[in-house]
Amino acid sequence: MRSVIRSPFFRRVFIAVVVTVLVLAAAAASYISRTQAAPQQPIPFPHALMVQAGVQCTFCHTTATESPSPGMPSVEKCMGCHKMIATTQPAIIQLAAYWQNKQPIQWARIYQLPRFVQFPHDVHVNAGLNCERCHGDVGHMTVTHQVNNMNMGWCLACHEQQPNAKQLMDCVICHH
Amino acid sequence: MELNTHKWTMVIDQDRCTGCSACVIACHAENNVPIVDENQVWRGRGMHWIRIERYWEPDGQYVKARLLPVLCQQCDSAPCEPVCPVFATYHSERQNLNVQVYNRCVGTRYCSNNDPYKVRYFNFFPPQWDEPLNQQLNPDVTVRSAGVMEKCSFCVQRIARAEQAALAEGRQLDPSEVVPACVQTCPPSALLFGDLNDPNSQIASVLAGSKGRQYRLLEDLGTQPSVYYLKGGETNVGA
Amino acid sequence: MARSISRRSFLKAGAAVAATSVLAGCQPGLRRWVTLEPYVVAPEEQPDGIPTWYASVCRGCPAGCGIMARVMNGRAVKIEGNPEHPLNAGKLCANGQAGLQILYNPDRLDAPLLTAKRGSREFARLPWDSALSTLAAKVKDAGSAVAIVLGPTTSGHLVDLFQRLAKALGAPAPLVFDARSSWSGTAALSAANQALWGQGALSAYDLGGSDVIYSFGADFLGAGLSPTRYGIEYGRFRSQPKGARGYLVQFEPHMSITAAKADQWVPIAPGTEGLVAQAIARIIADEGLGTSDRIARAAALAGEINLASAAQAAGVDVQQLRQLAQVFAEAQRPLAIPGNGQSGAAGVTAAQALNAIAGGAGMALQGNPPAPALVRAEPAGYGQVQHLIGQMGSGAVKALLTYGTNLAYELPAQAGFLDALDKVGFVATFSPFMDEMGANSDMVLAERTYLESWGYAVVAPDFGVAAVTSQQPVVQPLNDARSAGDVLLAMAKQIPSAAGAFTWSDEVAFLREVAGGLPAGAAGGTGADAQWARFLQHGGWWPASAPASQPTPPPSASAPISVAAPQYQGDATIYPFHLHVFASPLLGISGANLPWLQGSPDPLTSMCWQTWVAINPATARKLGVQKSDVVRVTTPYGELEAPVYAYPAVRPDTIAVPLGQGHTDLGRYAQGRGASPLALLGGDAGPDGEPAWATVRCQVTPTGRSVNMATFEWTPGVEQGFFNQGYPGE
Repeated sequence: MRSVIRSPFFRRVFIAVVVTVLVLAAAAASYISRTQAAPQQPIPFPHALMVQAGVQCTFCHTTATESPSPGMPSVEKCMGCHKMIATTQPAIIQLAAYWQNKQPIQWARIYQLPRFVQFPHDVHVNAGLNCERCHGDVGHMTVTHQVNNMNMGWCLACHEQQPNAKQLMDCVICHH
Repeated sequence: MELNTHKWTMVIDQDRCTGCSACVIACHAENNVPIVDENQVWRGRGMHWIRIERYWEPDGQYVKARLLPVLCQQCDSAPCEPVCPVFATYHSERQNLNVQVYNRCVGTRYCSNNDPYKVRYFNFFPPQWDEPLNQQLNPDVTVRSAGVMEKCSFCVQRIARAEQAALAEGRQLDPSEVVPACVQTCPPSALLFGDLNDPNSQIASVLAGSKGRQYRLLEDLGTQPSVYYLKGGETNVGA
Repeated sequence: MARSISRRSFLKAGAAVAATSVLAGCQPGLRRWVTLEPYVVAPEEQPDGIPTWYASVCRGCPAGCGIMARVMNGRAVKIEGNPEHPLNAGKLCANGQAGLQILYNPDRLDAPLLTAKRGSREFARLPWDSALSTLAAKVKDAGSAVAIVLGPTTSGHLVDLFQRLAKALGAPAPLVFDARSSWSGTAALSAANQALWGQGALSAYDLGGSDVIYSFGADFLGAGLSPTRYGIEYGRFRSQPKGARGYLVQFEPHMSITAAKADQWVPIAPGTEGLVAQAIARIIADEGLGTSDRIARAAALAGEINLASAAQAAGVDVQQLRQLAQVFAEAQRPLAIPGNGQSGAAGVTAAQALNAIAGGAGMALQGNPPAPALVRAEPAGYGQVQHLIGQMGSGAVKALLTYGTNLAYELPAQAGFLDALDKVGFVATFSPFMDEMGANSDMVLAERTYLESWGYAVVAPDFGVAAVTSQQPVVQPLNDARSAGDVLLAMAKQIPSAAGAFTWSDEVAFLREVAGGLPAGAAGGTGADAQWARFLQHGGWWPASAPASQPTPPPSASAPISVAAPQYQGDATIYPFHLHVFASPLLGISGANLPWLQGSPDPLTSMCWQTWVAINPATARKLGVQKSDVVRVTTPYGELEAPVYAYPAVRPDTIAVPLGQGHTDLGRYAQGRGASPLALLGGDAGPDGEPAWATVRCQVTPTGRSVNMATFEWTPGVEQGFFNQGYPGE
């Protein structure tokens, strides 16, 4: 073994391989960390500003207590206030352009559970969970980003601590 | 709130079933079950979570036809469950249903091999819906990909949503609120559904009043199916 | 390339390349995110994830069942029966359940089409304005020589508008016809009721309250009149109080699902249903069976008949006829259900006569629509279609408009419709699809499907409760197709003679006017707006309480019913078999472009996607064919090829072929698949004005080829039949 490494040729190969692996590892780390970064949105929407102004989550995400889906506000909903509020801000001018052209805003989706999971918002919100519990301190986020990795283990960690854990650990409640 | 345990049961009255196959189409629509093309049907890969089996019996020069709707029997002692190497199919103790978890399935097909009723269907190919047929797909039911086993779930998505609605109102589910797609559409009401744990259920009284006609499929195998059949035709000997 | 590369430099270069390519892919801008696209203006009534249900009408058949469509985010994902509707009470048949595949069918037309050469299938797309003015110009030029043919599932308001158009133009009234209405004997039934009770209306049968039912070839559980309601009734029939489960006898040559559910299937020769009915009536009279009322009515209604020859023609024993007559006559509440077009008008009348003999309880004659302004599509007899074809062929028709009826496919080839079409100046079709009628038209007007349209359907037959089902769009129209009502109104404005008759701004205004004439009903509401809202919300109008059942009046027939023995077409030495044409309960006659119906198994054969030739196994053995061998079926009028299905529940002397396949058009699921037995029928009407559905003889010849049969059942298990002992009768 030592004789192999001693040979000049194989030592260079060895160094080259180590360098390659390190470079690739750095690249991978960089790449993966970038996938976890918050996506760029078409309009730089700051939840923090809205929450500071006193707007409740369900003002825009209206069906969080009634539907599996919390709902996304329509452009008309935004314009309801922003026809008059902060109309000179660049972001609002962008928004107004969407409204003028009757274009829907293509928000980059932050939370995407796999297609084989049926997640009901209404059950969770009605059970007393507030939005921040899973979505983090959105009220202080300028750029909305994911804070929990929301894999099944994370969901089950909470489910198994409930008094009715037995029924919440039944696969079929989400997987059907 | 601790939700009740259910014993979901179906009763199929063979005297009423006409073979009209409304249940078959309703199930396809509700559960995103793909339609298989002609060539694959010939190869035995047709998929219908509920099917109407027709048996011929000799009757003089001709035959009598017996019609038998067959769907997953939701066995209490299901032969398909112990053989899955990845626990993709298991028994829900609260719903008393045999559940298929699509994302766990790796496609060994051992479950359908062990299933005596042959009610498990495998997606040999990625299911396709020519646009815009895909707009009809039910968002409450997972669309399965290739390599995944599927079968009747007693429309568990309807059970789940009804339970969630009841929870939101702070009450227990009233089992009569839940009806699978096949039962809902059946014109002669040959298919009946309910929760045997509910003493007031229609299903409990139907079963109590038809002991002479009741049977279950392949009962001697010990699978303990949750589907009861009531004999029809001249074998309908009354209660 | 000339210089050699050292290993060191090669490895260094390789590593550098790998690292660069990975880094290059890391720019966030290249990453594609899933987007979430909310509405610009959100519809208030459709919150995300919560279904909205819209009531409407099913247009799968003319029965008029009420449906509810489950709509999620603007997409219709499920259809259910409307639980409030008096006809179907929340239930729905397979055909109705499949309706979503009409709405979302990939082969829908989205623009009006015009061709320079009729039949070339080369169409140019037109803007709507251009199409409307072309259509208006052609119709105007035709003057009063305009013929209009409508399908029986056409909305009442459209029938009304077409009728008004015809009247304004001085043209003949529109004809209502399709193969299903003919095959299910709709016109024949009205004619029979006219003959017996002086009311040319449909009749409905209270199966649930009956103890003995004789069905003369009526597949009422399958593709007949009102299959959903008869399915409901059948459930009641088998679950009567005190364990009574009724007794059903089905007379037909080939077992349908109705015969499969019967307590006794009497396999009579095709076309002899009427003879058998008359024979039973005669025996009741001659042998004095049942109550004296029944005997008296039987004596009045049953014409003379030679029992022995009738029995022989049908293929039954006289003794069996006697037993059947006795059971019927002595039953408490017997019912006779007249058959399909197989029996011919005389056969239908003979079966109805048995109801008259029984006293008429359990039979409800169709009443008037709940409001005078409501229009019902009344299917015409085949004789009228023949007359139209004659007019067309002689050049008397300058413009032909068709709506909702694929005449170019649904008539026997021998009827000569396509040839006669050549002599028609201008042909325009309203359809969501390019079907055979569209392919042979000059202009095809892309029609909206029923789930995107307005209208109403007078429930027919109404089972004693006069009802109208409302129709409203359950989704936004998917494309630029337009509803025929609006097209007619727009077109009429451009025709001077018609403009005055069409004053409404659009069809909804017309519908509101018509619906405004309805009296107070179950849904309540005061004022036109409230009544209209409830009409739509509940899915129609019906009375607040079920009216007392009208007793059937005593029969008023002037002459005793007399049915002639069927005149079979074709020399028996050349064509040794009878041909029986039927409709599978799933595919029906018009379901070929819906994959749910194509791909689901026929209940008695489990066949999918294909046409088959049902041959008794003993006969198949004699012919030397077995399942999946392709045979040629020849009649004096045409031929078709299809694979054999050895079917033990058909007479050995009869070959049965299902309708529905054999399309040259109608989209990817229908085209080039199977064959249509309409090619085997003659074009002439029988003596009673109906097509000769049941009296054609045929020959069967093996071709030596075989195909793979798409059956859902396990082939060897069925082929080997009864544990290798073969089928009975072999």
